[in-house]
Amino acid sequence: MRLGRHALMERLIERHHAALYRHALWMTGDPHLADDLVQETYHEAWKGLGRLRAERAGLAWLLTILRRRLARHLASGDALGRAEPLEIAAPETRAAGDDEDTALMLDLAAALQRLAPAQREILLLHALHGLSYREIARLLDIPIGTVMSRIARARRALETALAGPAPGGRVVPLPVGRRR
Amino acid sequence: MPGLDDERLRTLLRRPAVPADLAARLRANLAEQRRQARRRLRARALAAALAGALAAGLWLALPAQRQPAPLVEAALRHLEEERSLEGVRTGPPLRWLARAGLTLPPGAHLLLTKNCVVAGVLVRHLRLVLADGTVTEVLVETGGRWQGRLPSRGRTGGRAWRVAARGAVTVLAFGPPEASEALAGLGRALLHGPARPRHPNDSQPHLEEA
Repeated sequence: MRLGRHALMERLIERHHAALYRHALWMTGDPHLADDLVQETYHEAWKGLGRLRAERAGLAWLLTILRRRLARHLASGDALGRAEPLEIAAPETRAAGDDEDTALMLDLAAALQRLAPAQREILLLHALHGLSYREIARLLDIPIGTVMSRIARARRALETALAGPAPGGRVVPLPVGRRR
Repeated sequence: MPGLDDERLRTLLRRPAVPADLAARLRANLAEQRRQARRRLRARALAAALAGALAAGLWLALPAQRQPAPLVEAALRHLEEERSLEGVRTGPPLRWLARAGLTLPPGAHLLLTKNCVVAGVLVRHLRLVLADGTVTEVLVETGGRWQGRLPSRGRTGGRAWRVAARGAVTVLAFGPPEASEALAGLGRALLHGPARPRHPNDSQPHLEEA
């Protein structure tokens, strides 16, 4: 059954807003900017909803919009363009017993911030969103082989960054949710 | 933390909490966008209706400002050329009128009837005196070649003109500027007069029969 515009938009919010937020957060390291970017993404999505061919393509379509927004911030020298490494502090609200995971996440955040934005992005598309090579290739408009090699290089760069010393830098609070 | 496997990486990447009210704010934004879109749509519809009404008003109120159709200009030139002609007859006019399915309005009589070529089309040129004494010039095209090519009315060269049509027959009537309504009545009477054809000798005493 074909959904109405409003119902479809509601469903896109329900299903994908968390993934988009996390994507923007890992890309920028800034919760407020991530929040703004997600709102801008859905604002633009509503205006261009007619271009979404099928609901199952919703995440990839929303990511395309979000990537444009991120690229704009990158070009403007906002968060993404900062050269300084990002250090993420855990919030007071984290649940007890999460310490190990939280420490790992902070290391991961610091390591990701040392990767080039393009490497960070392809890792997120693959690991966070679980997109296939083919879906990533379509989204980034590059051959599948290139996707595979870029993911492999990004993974190696991440391993190197994780193994290296944690850089200093500004502190940005990152809310941590309970593991499900 | 070297050796981070895919599953562990995925779990960690999904750890950051999403603001609890983000979805609600997105829905609120969506509702506001819908309201704005509806307001814009209503405003556009209103603007279009106003523009349409304005255009229609101008069209009706300023017929003299309209560019006359080329056919009307050609017809006017023709009438000017034949202004001096009177009583020229090329055949029994009433018989021709009857063949064309036209009826003279009561009290009207013909001063002139002849075949003419206007803008390359053969038409019948009638000069009529209406019951109230108004002199009108009428061009009748019966072959469908003027069909849909003329505006319904206008004023050009100090004359009012009206167009009436029935099927392939088009009547273009010219008269003094104040006679626009009379011309409309003339067109209707010519095209939709009494179904029973009048005999030339009983109701049209002034008719000049060839």
